Amino acid sequence: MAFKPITVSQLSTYVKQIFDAEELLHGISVVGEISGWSYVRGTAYFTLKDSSSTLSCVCFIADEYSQFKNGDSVMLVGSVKYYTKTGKLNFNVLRIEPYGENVLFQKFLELKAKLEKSGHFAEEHKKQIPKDIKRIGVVSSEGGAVIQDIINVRTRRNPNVDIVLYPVKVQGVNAEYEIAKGIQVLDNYNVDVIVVARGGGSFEDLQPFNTEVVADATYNCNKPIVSAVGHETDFTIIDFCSDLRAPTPSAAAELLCEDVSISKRKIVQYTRLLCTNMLRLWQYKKDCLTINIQNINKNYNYLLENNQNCFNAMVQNLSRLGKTIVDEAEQKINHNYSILKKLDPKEVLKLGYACVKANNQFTNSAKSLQVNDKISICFKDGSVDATVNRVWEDL
Amino acid sequence: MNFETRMKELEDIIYKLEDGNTKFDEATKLFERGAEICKELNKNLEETKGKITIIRDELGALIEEEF
Repeated sequence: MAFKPITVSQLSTYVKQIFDAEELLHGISVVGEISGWSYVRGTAYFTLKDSSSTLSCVCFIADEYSQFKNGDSVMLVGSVKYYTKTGKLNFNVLRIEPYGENVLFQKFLELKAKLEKSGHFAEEHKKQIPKDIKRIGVVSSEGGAVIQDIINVRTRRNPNVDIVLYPVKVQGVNAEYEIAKGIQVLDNYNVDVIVVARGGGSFEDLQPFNTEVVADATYNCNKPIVSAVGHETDFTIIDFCSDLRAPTPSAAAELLCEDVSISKRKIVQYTRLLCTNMLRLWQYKKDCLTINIQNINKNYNYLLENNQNCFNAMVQNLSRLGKTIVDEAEQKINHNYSILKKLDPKEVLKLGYACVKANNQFTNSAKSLQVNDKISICFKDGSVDATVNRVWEDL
Repeated sequence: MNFETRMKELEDIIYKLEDGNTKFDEATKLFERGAEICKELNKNLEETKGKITIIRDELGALIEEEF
């Protein structure tokens, strides 16, 4: 089945529309070698080639890139354009950069030397990475494995930590501006620390991290920044400007997320120590109390024993003293008794004396008696009643 | 009070309880406070769950969305 014929303009316009609509052909970077460089009033026309293909290029701002010449290895940034007038496809160049490991490395060394001189790498400028991090800001690609690695490590080690991602392009055209903006945004955001991360790649792929704009953003950031770009062996400019370089994005997450299992173990250990120390202190106080009680008892017993001895001695003394007193008293009594015994009237009567009673009372005076008084005369063995016949004034 | 500060307070309490000269009344109060901190720390570790979000720049305004 035959199609209805169309004009060249219609076909060219259709082809142009296809090229204009294809996003993948705009804002891209292409690398190759310059050949056929020609300059006409501010516009450069040239071909970019590699071992098997060529690409026609046009640069309307060629005055800015007068240093380039045929044979230079470059990276072009721009868009593919189809020109209907000529029926040709051109690469419309917006920027030209040197490309190739040697060239890029030279550029890297120059920038490094410049930033070192300006103090971007100074140790005294570096900030301390805080402990007890609650929120980590991440500047990285949204779709790559890097953010997943960081999330996985954080989930394994400490799921309490928040992660705030500022998504950026990590390679290609203008990636460095997005990265710098991400750092600035997170610097004013509620995060404790910022991680700038991307996975491994070629030296060319890592170029956005070797730019002055990213170095400045890192240096001027008020929050601590951890760089985690590429593999362990990759070093970029941001690694020198950051406050800490992590060998990989996963390692950055390891460094920033304290292992919660360590905290849990620490709490268990501290809880145990708390109880042990309290029990030990309690035991110590109890022992002190027991010793005090024992001391009191010992002192009490000593006092008691000592007092008992004193008491016994006192009793003995008293007994001795008492006995002496009693003996002395007894002797005295015996003595007195013997004296009294000698004075007993009955004893006197035994000597042959007699005594007289008148009116039932002893009398020792003849004058107290009168004639006819009734008297009793007592002898050692009895008495007799008598009547006074006469009172004699003398014996 | 954050996690680190509470850990530090707990360490200080444990240190004080190691000292036999601490009075028993004070030691009891310290022990009670230490037990309370242990409880808080455990609760803190078990209950909190972090969030993963992404910042979108929408017409100059920053919006935080779930990742």
